[in-house]
Amino acid sequence: MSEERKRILNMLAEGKISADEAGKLLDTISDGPVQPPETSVAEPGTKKTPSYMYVKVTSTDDDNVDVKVPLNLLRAGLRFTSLIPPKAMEHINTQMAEKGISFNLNNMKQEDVEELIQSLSDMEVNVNSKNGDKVRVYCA
Amino acid sequence: MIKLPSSIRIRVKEEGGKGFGFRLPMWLFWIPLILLYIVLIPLIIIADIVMKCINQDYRIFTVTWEMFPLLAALRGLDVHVWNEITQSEIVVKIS
Repeated sequence: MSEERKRILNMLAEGKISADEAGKLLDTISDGPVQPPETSVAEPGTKKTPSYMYVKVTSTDDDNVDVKVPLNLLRAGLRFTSLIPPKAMEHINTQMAEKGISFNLNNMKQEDVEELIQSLSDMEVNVNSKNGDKVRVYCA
Repeated sequence: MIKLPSSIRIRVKEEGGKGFGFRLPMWLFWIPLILLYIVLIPLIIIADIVMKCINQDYRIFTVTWEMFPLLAALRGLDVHVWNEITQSEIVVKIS
């Protein structure tokens, strides 16, 4: 325990200050020194939030497809889950839990969506079929 | 601030290299969409009241407020389909 905290608690015990005053004083010392402003330089190891999902299809028939989908569509689409009636939502959650997916759509917050999107940067799907067709899905 | 897409670019090239392309300003779509919305407002209000009766947590005009971010999220959508042998391609870009 720091000296300052001890002093404040002693003053409270001696009745020199009220509990409210002691609380305010303790809050002041627990805030600590003023933090320097955050810089815009990313810390090493932090992931860049992906902005797009890329789907690239190359077939042996030379039919190629490139699709670039903005991930903002995912954010906007997830907002529509509020339209699902509560009973239907419960049914969905029950069915997902039965399949081993313990995920509750009711508890999904904006921070969870952002975390989900950030973790998509590690996602990459590569499919190579027997006849030489290739599909690649990734986020960047 | 929500920024709706400003233009859509479509290019279609057929076998042999013939084709066409154009760039349309998106306000050509937004203005009729807004007019359609104004016409449908009574139905939208009825639907919102029904949704509120079904789901007490439902906020009125949720679909309206969430439609704009959804349309704005279309910015950056890029679809490119092409065939190297026939030299045909279809490009759709929303920016």
